Amino acid sequence: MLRYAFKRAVLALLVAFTVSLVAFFLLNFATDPAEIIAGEDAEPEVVETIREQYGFNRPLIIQYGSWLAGLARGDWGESYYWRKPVAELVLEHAPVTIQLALMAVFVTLIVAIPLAVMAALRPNSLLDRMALSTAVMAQAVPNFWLGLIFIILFAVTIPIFPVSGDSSFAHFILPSIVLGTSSVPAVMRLTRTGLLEVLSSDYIRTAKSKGYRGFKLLTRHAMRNALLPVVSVLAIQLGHKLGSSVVVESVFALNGLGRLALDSIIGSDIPTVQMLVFVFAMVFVVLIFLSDLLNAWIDPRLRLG
Amino acid sequence: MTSSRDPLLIIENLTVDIPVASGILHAVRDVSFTLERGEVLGIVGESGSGKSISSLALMGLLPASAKRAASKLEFAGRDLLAMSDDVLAREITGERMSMIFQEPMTSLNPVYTIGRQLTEVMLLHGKGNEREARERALYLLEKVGLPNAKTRLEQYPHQLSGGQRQRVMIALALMNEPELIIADEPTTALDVTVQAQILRLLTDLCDEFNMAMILISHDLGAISRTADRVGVMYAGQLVETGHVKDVLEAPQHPYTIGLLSCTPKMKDNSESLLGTIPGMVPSLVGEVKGCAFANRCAERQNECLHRSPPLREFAGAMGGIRRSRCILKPGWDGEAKAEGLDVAERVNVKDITKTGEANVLSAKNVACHFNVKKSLFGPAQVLRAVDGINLDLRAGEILALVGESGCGKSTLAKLLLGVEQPTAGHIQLDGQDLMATASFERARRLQPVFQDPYSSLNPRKTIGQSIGRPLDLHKIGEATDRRREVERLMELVGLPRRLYHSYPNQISGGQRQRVAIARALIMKPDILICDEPTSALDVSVQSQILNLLLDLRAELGLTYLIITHDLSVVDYMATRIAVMYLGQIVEVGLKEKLIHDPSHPYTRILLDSVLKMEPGEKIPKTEIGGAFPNALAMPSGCRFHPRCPLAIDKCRRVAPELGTDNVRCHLSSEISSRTTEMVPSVSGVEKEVPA
Repeated sequence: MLRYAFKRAVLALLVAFTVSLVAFFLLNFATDPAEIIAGEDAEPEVVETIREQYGFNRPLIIQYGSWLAGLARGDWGESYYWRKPVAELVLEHAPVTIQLALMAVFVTLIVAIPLAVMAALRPNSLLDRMALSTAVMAQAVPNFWLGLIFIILFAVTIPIFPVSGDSSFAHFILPSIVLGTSSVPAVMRLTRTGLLEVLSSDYIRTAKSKGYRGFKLLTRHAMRNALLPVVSVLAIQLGHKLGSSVVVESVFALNGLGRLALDSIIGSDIPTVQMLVFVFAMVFVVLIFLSDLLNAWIDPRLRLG
Repeated sequence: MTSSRDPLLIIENLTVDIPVASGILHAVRDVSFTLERGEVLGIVGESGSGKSISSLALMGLLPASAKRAASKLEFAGRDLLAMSDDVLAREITGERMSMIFQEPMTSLNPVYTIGRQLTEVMLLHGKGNEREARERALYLLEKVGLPNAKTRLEQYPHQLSGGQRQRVMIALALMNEPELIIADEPTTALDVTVQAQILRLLTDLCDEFNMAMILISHDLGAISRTADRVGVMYAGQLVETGHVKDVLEAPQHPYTIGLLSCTPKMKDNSESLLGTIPGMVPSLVGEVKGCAFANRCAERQNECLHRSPPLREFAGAMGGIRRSRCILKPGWDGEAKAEGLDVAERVNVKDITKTGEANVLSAKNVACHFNVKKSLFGPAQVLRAVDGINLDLRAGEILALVGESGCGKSTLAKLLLGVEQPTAGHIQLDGQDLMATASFERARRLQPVFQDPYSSLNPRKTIGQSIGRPLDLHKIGEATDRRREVERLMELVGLPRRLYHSYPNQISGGQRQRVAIARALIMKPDILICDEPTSALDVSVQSQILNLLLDLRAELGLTYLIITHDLSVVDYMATRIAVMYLGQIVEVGLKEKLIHDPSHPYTRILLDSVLKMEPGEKIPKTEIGGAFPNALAMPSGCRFHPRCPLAIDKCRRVAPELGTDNVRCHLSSEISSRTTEMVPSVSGVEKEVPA
């Protein structure tokens, strides 16, 4: 297990390094940070001074090196737009997004897994068909539209939830439902297919020949195997939620990382954008690493193979 | 069946119907039998005969859509018909009745330890606490021949070999001391050396614990040596039942007679052809009119087509009642018929004494090593699949290459076909390097026939297209010529011309293998390399294909290399035999010599493990040491020494060469001077299979 974890960790670090390279070079090739800081119509001399001052005249590889060194020290650079440390900005906005993402995944799980289990136990039944078609619909509905409908329905017409903002737990309920439903179809279908496959496998036949039936068969022999692919997908879905909550955060006026990313892009705030790209990527790397570990714990073939 | 002292199981008129897309499949039709305590009932039949379904019906393991009906279903005095599935699961299955399945590789749950999977069945039925279950598991693992039981309990299925997993399955079935064990083809997926051990173990355990067993198998040899009584199933019905000696030595039902005549028996040296059963099993979807076997029966009378045949009861010579579901009265000249079928009509066709002279295809010191990387940064290990092989294929002969799974025989076949490139040595075709030969030339000389006729045909191409494909590829002839050529070959291999536009899923397994042979022959090659050509087929179809190959050889003067693990097929077909073990040839010789006077200990053990049909005989005790080793960790010295009952110190240190007598063994001269009575009996210690 330790060996496996170590190997996965090395791989994760390699991915992180590659991501940092791409994030840095793409942004710095695409724009000239000095001109952005100086603003439009600035005198060339001013731009040159800024370039000198911020060290943009050094070779890119050196700049990358110092950025990387800064990352390691915890110095994530200074935002040009908000005029404060990027680290501070990210830490300020992160809690909102993390809460939203976790709640959304929770919504996904409590809807998708029971539905999938019921559908798999009675494949092609009315319930199965309904679950599948609802899933297709849920996938087709855009988040912003669902968000607006929810606001109208549950905040305006029937005012049970606040319209927008992020000052209380209640503020998160509608957005996390909206964000959560979007991954219900993927998770549900995967769990259903996985479970169906497991239920028709030889070892389930063996378990039945032992005398297992119904719920016990499911919990003692089928669930663990069926969850393998679901764990990986959930990790990716959670990563997505953190990274792509831009739309939902805008609709519900939540001041999270998504909003920060949007504003920094509009403001051409390279250090912040660069750092956010890196942070979002890191979230994926860490989540996938964790899901690998979880899968290895579930499946001995990964851990001992 | 008669004076049933204490029948454990009574089944009367069991039927199973399964709804399918085209109607209702009558999978089991009107099956009745009884089973006494401690009795072993063998059920034989070909695929689709309903033998597995009827046992699943007993265990309550039928698919949800299937419908089971019976007039009586009684187990140990309890009425199973009146029992709900939940009660059956709680009180009978797994506790008093358990099952061993055919697929040891997939029948254990990969994510739980062996220990948990063993103990849970005892805990589930409340037969003991955790500690007692663990003790019982340990005891049984030792009993089924898995040493180091303590470590095994902590292991996961993937850390065990197929044979070891099947032993775990047997231990699992025994956990609650059941009164009945149903073993569904328990050894079919295993190597011949393991098969004998497992079957012996099962029968010994039945004796010891007075358990009854239903042993389902297509292998008449295995059944003949394990069962007390036999039931023959065909098209969902039990067509004949009786004492094993009665049924197999004096068969009454024409199907039993046909089945026996199709089975290569490995004892007579007769030049006769195997019998065949013409035609195909009728579809069991919808109503089956008359006798289901009528369309293939040589004894068919008009009445058979319209009326279901009566189930006749009569006394067997070995005692007990025999039953035969046939219009023919018991005592008709069925026995004579069985003999008669062995008389060859075309003796010259099976002239397998004729062996070739000139070498057409030769392997010279051929090796094929693969680099296996277990991890991204770890060092590559060398898998020596084929390691220094010298082998000549002579014009006109049938050379059989035999060995257990994993010995490298299929890799060697690929090398000889030129599909895989040797990492050392070279293959010569008529003295020319095979790799330097143009692909067209190669295709014109050498063609393959593969094992699986289901997956080796493109499902989107018609039969005609598949057969004619090589002609298209090599741009031979006009479209009309090609068509004519394809039709000529279809006729040659016995495929009706109307199948030209059919797709592979519309024809039977035997027909698909005929298509594969026709496709191989269309380039008019003189050498066919057949890799397990009949392993996926039923015996009655196997005999058709084997006879077809013999026919074609007589007609076209073909040379065959047949790769197989089935020694009875080898005995029937081969003129010469090469035995492979861990990438090397350990013995080569003419068939007569090798089968009757083998020199290498491995050849000897292989041959001893074959369960020839001897009703009433026990399974020979030929224990081979250890499991088939991992080719990544070659043993020192002689590669066979860890399993060899005769190994001496020299064998551990010095690797023997293939001597002038064509035997790779230090002791070969000694062995051949011994009597053939030598039975190695060193009990085996199973080795770990490295993960």
